[in-house]
Amino acid sequence: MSRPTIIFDRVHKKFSRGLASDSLRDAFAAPIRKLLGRGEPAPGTAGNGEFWALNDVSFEVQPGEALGVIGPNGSGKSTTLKLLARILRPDKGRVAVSGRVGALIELGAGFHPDLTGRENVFLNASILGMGKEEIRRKYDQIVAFAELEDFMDMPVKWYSSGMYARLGFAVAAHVDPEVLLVDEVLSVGDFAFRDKCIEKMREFAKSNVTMVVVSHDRLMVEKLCGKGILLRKGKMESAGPVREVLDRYYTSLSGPGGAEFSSEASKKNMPIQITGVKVLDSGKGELKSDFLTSEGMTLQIFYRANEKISSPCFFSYIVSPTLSASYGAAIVHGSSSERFKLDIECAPGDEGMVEVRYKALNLLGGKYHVTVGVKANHFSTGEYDKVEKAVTLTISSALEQGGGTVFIEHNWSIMKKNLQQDQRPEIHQFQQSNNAKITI
Amino acid sequence: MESGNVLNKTEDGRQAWREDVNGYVSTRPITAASRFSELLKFRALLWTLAWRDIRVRYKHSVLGVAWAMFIPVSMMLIFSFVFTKVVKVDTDVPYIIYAYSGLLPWQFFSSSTTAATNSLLANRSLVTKIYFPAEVFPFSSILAAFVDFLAGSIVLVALMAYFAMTGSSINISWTVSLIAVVLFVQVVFTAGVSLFLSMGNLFFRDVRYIYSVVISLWMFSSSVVYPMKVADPRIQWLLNLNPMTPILDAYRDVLLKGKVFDAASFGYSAIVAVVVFLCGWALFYRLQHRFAEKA
Repeated sequence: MSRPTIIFDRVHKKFSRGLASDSLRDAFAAPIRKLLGRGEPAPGTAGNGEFWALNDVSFEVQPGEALGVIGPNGSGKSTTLKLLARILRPDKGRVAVSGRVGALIELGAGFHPDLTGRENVFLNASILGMGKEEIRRKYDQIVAFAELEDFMDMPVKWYSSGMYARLGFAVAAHVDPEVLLVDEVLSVGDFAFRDKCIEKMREFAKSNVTMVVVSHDRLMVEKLCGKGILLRKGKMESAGPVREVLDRYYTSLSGPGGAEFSSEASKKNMPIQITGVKVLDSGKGELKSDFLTSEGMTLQIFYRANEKISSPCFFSYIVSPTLSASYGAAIVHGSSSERFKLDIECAPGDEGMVEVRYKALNLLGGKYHVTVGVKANHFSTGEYDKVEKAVTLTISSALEQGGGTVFIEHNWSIMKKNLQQDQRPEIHQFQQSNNAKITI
Repeated sequence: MESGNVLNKTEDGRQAWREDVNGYVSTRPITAASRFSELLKFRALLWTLAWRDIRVRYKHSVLGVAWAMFIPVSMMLIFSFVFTKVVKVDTDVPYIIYAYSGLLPWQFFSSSTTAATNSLLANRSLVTKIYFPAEVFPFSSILAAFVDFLAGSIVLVALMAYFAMTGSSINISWTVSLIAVVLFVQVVFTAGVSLFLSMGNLFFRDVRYIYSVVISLWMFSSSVVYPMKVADPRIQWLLNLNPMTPILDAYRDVLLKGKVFDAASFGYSAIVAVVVFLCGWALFYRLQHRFAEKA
């Protein structure tokens, strides 16, 4: 194995909370406090108002590899990048990077609003370490990539935020780095440009550029990186193939999970409350949380009424943590009792159970959560009671390996072109099975 | 500690770790040579930033670079009124050129250092995001102020030509070429002071406000608009410590009086300049990795 491009060796980084000694008053006060015995803690320990942004983190990245750094906010991801970009120095341990480092850390950092696009390209590129000649040579490429040919003589203060980011990315992408650090940079800009950026980064990956990517966007990390590390509160929680690390992260984000949920807490202020949820095998009626794509599922919702209500609407939907991480609460399957004209009349103290039967889950491999609730009717916005992620399902699929969330039953077929007949050939036919109903 | 082994364990001689400016190990001590080569690599940036400052400064003003002449000229007129009509001050060259030849380099010094004080904070989006030798910011402030200085020099040359032709008591000779030495010492001193101020302001935001007062006091303690000999003899020893006075006097010696600057006092200034610069630079390097936390 060749020598790693990046070595992160038992790195510790300490930060102080608040604005320690930003003014001279604090600076003079500190030694006096020390004299009075309320001194600072010994070096090497995180004392009052200090915390470890990174605590004993070690990893290596081989040439041409892409590492995804995953973790919740404040877990030390950006600190990791800043240490790699040598803006920060570790308090303990060491960081070693070999090669020209390019950083997609803040697009257009250093753009001056009063200068034109052209002037800013030269300014920003020289900040990123390009020489004058090199910039001149690449100028047209940069402008073409940003698709801003008509706006280069306009001060960038009149640019939209998308244009700003595009120009910033275009400049940063043409630095020809050997090591590329990518922070959450593509949250602005339209999808077309975003894809173009991801495409550009994949080109980097192919041309043996070593990358470290920090992103909350699972799809991007998955597309770009082979390996991943999971940080939490400055500690490295796991490392390995990026898919595994991502799964571990998203699983840990979800609640208690399992096939059963029950709550005995009385919620007297609610007209009706959900006391339990069970996921059962559709055949034998046993508790179950691991399903195959083709299997059916029975969901039981237990309720207790505290007031008199007539025909409340129960609902359940299945949420994919993978999708909801990037696009909000993505409902994979919704259902409600009202559509089935269930006649539920509740008197105070009534208890009961409603059952939803899913013929086939038709979900592809991964973790899913089921959220259940009850509301006045199908159209009301507020609900009486709702249990977020009441149960967790683990689906394994042998059917499709190509990714995606929903399985739609379909057939591929072929018809050979008949040269004798003057007919338009059907090259293939897409057939949707009648019993696959997808409600989104 | 055996943390050093990580780098060595994959060492196979042929693929030695790249020790050039690109390959970086965070805990490796910084040598003056490696930093200097790094700074050289970024010299294009120095020009670009200075040019940006100039461009932004004059982009929306009608007079443009003429402002660079307007400020010292108007100050010259004010002080000429004060020190020839209100209070009489004895100078061995006509007062108007005495004042201008002091105000122009002083303006260069004060505007460089004032701009440099805020330069790291003003560029915090860069300082906290991208690595490069951060002293390009204070240095580019000096470069930008130097352009103003050059523009203002046109007026000085015109004044010198006028007084030389009207046969006043100024004497222009070969010593004019020594201006390069004087200017060099001033730039070194300015750079040293700028490094300290820009760092200081990053760690203690008060520095900027304190310096705005200090710079006025400093001006009136230097031979900008009157010679130091008018001051109270009891504080002469204190005023002699000021390295700016010999520099300003040296400008007048070589430009207006046709003589070489006073070796002793100018030599003192030169030594102070070099010491301040080297200390400032060394400290700047030691602290640079903390800038991102402070900005």
